Order: sequence, then structure tokens, then C-alpha cells
Amino acid sequence: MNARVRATSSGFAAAIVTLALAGPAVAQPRATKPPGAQVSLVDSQAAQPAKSPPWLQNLQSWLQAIAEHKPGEPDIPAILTGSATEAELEAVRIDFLALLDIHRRLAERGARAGQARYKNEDITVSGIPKLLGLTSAEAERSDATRILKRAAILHGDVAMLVIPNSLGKVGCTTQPVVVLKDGHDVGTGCHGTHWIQGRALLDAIRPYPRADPMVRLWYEATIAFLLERMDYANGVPQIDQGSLLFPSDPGLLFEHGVSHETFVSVINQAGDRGGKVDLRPASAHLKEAEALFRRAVELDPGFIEARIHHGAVLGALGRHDEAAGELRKAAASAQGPILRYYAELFLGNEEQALGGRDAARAHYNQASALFPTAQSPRIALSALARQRGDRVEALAAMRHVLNLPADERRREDPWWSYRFWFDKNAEMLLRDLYRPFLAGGQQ
Amino acid sequence: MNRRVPVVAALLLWGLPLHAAAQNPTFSSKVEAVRVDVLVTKDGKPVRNLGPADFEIFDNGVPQQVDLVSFEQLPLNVVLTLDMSDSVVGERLAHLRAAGQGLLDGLKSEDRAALVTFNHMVTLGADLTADWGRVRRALDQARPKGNTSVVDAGFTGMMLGESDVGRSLVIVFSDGLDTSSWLAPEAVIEIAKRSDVVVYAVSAGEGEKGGFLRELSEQTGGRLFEIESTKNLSAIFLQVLDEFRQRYVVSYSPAGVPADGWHRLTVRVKGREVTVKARPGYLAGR
Repeated sequence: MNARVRATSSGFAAAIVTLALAGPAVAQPRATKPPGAQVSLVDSQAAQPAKSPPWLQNLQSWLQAIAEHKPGEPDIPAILTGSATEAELEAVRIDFLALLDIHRRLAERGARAGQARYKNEDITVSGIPKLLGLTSAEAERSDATRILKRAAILHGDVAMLVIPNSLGKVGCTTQPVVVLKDGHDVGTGCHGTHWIQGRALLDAIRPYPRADPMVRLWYEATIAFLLERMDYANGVPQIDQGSLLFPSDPGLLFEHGVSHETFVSVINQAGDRGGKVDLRPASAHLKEAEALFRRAVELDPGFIEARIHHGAVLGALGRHDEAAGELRKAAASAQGPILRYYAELFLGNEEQALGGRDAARAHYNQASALFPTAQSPRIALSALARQRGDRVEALAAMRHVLNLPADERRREDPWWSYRFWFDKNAEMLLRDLYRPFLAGGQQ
Repeated sequence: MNRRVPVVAALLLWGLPLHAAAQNPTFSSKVEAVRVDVLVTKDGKPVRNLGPADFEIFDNGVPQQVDLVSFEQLPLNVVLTLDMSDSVVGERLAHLRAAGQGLLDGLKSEDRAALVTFNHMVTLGADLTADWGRVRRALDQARPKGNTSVVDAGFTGMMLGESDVGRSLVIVFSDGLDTSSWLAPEAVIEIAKRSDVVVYAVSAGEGEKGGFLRELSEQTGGRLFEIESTKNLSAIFLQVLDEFRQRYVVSYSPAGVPADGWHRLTVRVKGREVTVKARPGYLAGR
């Protein structure tokens, strides 16, 4: 913890920070002006305020937290930021973006001196970059990209690392979210304000957020995080915005497809009762997933994981010939035991649907060889044999299942995590996301 | 219910003791036979003392000669297939254990029992055995955890029921939606149409209303109990056992119908106003 940060009693002001840049930029408030965000230039000299107004204290606390937060850590700046209310977060973001806008407009007009008026405060023009935490070069370009990106990292980390461990509803909107466990409503969850904050901040990157690879990676990594935890209340809006910004990104198309693939099960759609529930029939979700996976594979033919999911969804749609074709390609190229397992297991299913029982059996056996304690291929082999009337083989395969250890730690079946396992998982993606920021670069 | 293989051949292939066949008067050794579990009730009470001459069976609309009818004579294989996922905790778990133990108390000395528990994993607690103490211990040791693979478990229970030539009753209890099965429900229902195991199911709480368990029990001639609370689960399990014991096993050798495909079954009792419950048909051939 930075020694300059000290906690006080309420809200975001719990992180009152004695920032050196706080005072000089703000002139004495004019009591006669109404509060608001309307901006006007004034010509008086800056005066030193006796005390910064609360909104400015919050802004400064926030900027300091951004500057001091170590990406990927639930550190003090992240914890203090996590204590902010939804209103405080929204206010600080609006203040920052409004001041940035003032700075841009003044810069466009060539105004380098004088005062601007914001929220009933006279602010020295020359002091605005300092209020915004901009470097001289950034101020010259009116470019807050670095801060916006670091802020998105901070809020993402707060949402991922701090809020889940917080008590009560801190960091959550009032939107109701139900948490399901094993198909049962076990309480209410959190529709996270920090996700909203992160998205809104990245949207403010100029000229276009989609031009910045970090933005794409932020979405891909955080969506993977949310899908891995089956947090659809926050995952869906994250996917929606990511898809809007990067409609042709294979990684995001894949994640979007996975979400629809998961929503085929009604149980998973019940994750958010606040209006985000997509209760369309399974076929509608499968069709959407199919289109998304197909596009991902078209854009990146080497994206084996997307090809496996594409094959699985085609099969679920009853398009078994296409599914088998896709899965054969995937099985031929899949690297690593888990992807190979998925390819073999699904291919077995499609061969079975096409009447190729020997081929199906061979693929199920391949899957079983990859994970000898997995029950799914053995159950599939049993059902395959039973369907063709071979009770002996059916029971023999079932015996393998029944003889598996009862201890879960000694049983591994990747099928159980198919809907939330990613070859490039959230941990890896987040590491990629954080690396440039941890390396000491400005970013 | 496609017991359309020579029974002795099947017994040998399955490596089962021949005394099991001797206990079962339903089958001859060389004739392909179909057997149907039939519940006959009047005003909700079982009707007893019916013989072959009392039954009419139509296989795809073609009347069949009823060979044998047995009632309360056959030992039972009872396969308890019980949900042990995350949601089965506290009172619900206590009720489930008590219901399982109560059902074991209701068995006759010649009956056998097995226990399959499931969450996302399907686990054999105790294989079919006349030593019910093993089943009791397994029931006490089962701990709830994880997701729900009710479809995989339903199939497993059926297979375990089929592993013996005796008359098999599978009781499936679940309180949740399926979240992790590999098998598709339709695939298991298709297999159920080929099996002569009878499945009774109990769906508790928010469980899957009208889905897989309803279809599975209907297609096997069993019944689905949908309950909000598990408070009376013991009574339900005993009711299932009692009802199953009250069923007739009617067998016939199909004549005048194609060997393969879906066979629609109609079972009636001649000259009586009674309610007859039996599986709607069976699937034969490959």
C-alpha cells in the first residue's frame, strides 16, 4: 500500500489521496453558478482552493489508484476502488471524460491559458492535463489512451479479483441476478458496475477503440474469465460489446459461439433475471452458435478448438455429414490431449448418427485411451452396443464405468468442463493482457 | 422390452447363473418371447388372480396368444439410482437415505438390490446383491457434490437392471436438471424402448418437469412422481415397490408381426372394467 493512501469513512472518498497535482488546477468556486457540467471559459487567474471539492477528490483518488494498481493483483488501489458505489464510479468517469473533452476542445481552439468552468469550479486551463493525469506529450495530443486502458485494467481486476471476495452488494448494480448451482437458485449474484465502467472507459479511446489490440485482448481475456466461471449475467453484455467492436475477430466469435452453445441448456439461461435471459429455443441458439463458429473457422482455418465446437453444434442441429467432416479435420490436427479427446468423442457421436458403428466405436475408444478414467466415452460405447442389440458388449463397456474409482480426484473427464474450458484460457489471456503494463511500458 | 433373443443363449452370454433362469418361469429356452409388466387396478387397487385367459395382447394391432402370466412370484432386482449432486443436502439427503433404507426393508429375501449414485459422475455404490447390508452402507457413505448427469445415470441404472435375467425395477431419484450428461435423452429413450426394465422416477423440487424422467418412465411402463418436498419420499419408494409387486408379468411369443421395428402394444383385461398400465410398445431388431 502506498503510504499516501489512507482510508476514510465513506464511499470512494475512502481513498482520499494527497495528490500533489490536486490543488493548483482548481480555482475558488463561484457560489453563484449553478452546478453542472456546462463548460465556459473564464479569464481570471487561478486561485488556490482551500479544499478540493468532493468530485475532484474522487477523481484524484481514482487516477492515483489507476497509476498505482499492479495489473492482475488484488492490491490496495484495487480494493479501495472496489469500495466505490455505482454512482461514484459513474460520476468519476463522467468527470474524467468531461474534463478530457474540455481539454480537447480548448486545445482545438488553441487555448493554453485562462480558466474553464466545470461543476461550479473554475479550473485553470493549463492545469487540466494534470487533473487528468496526462503527461506533457499526451496533453499535447489530447490523448488519454494510456489512462483509459490502465483504468479498464483496474476495473476489470476489481471485478475479477476484489468484488467476488467482497461482502454485500458492493460493486454491483441493483439489477437482480440469480445464482444457480446444480440447477437450483442458491441466491443472488452481482451485475458488476466495474465491468460497465471498464467497457465505457475503453469506448472513450480515440479515434476508435477497435484500432487498439489491447482493447480486443481485454475483451477476449475478460470474456474467457466470465465464461469459465459461467457468469453470464456479466458475460453476455461483455460479449455484446466485444462483438460490436470486433465483429470479425476469431477469438471473440468463438467465445460468442460458446455462450450460445451453453444457452442451449435452459438452466444456464436462468443466470440473469434482469432482462438478459435469452429464452429462445435451443435451435435458435444452436443456429447462432453455428454461424459464429463457422465464421471463426473461415477467418482462422487453424483454429481447431473453434472447428471442434462447430462440428459439435452442426451435429446437434442434425447436420451430421457436415459435422463429421468438420470433426475429422479437427481430429487430424488437434494438439494436446483435451482437444483430441473432444474431437474423438464428438466424431464418435457423429459417426454413430451416420450409422458408422465401427468408426464410432473406434473414435470412442480413442477418446477413452486419451483419458482412461473418463466415463463419457465408455457410456457412449455402452449405449452404442445396446442400440444395436449387443447386450454383452454394452454391459462390458458399462462395467468399465462402474469400476471407475468413486473418488472424483481419480477421475478425469474433460467432457464435464467442455462448456467452460478454453485451450487458450483466461489465465493465459490475462497474462498476455497484463504483460506490457507490468513491463513498465507506458501503454 | 425387446427380449427377442433366445433367453438361454442370452444367459450364457451374460455369464449369469442358471438358477436365475430356473426362478423365472416366463421364458422357454428356445422361443423368442416378449414379456410385459402390467399393472391392473380397479378404483386404484390392484386386481389379483388374473390368468393368461384374462389378458388380451395386441402387438401392432395383431392379437397374440398369451403364454404365461405370473404375479408376485418373481424375485426382484431393484436398482436404486439416486442423485447425489450438490443440491441434495440437509433434510433432502436425510429423506433420501431414509427412503432408500426403507425400501431395502421392504424387500423379500429372494430379492436383490443395487445402488448407483450420480452427480456428474456415475458411481456404483453396490452391485446387484442379496447382501443388502452392502447397499445400506453404500447409501450411508454417499456424499452429495457436483453437477447432475441424470440421463447418463438413467441409462446406467437400466443397464445394471438388464445385467440379470430377473425382473428389474429401476428407481431414479433426482432433484435437478441435467447439467452434465454425455448421452442425449433421446438416445436413452430409444434404448429404453428396447429394454424390459421398468423405470419409476421421482423428480423433486425444481427438478425437470415433464422431461427425460417422464419419458423414460412412460416408455418403460413405470411412473413419474413429481414432488415439491421429499418429506414423504419413504412412502413413495414403498408405494413404488408395492405397485411393482402387484404387477403381472405377461409373456407371449410374437406371431404375425414383423421382427424388427417399433411394436405398439395394447394390453386389455377381458370383460372387466379395470385400468391397465403397461409400456406403450417395444423396439425390436437393429
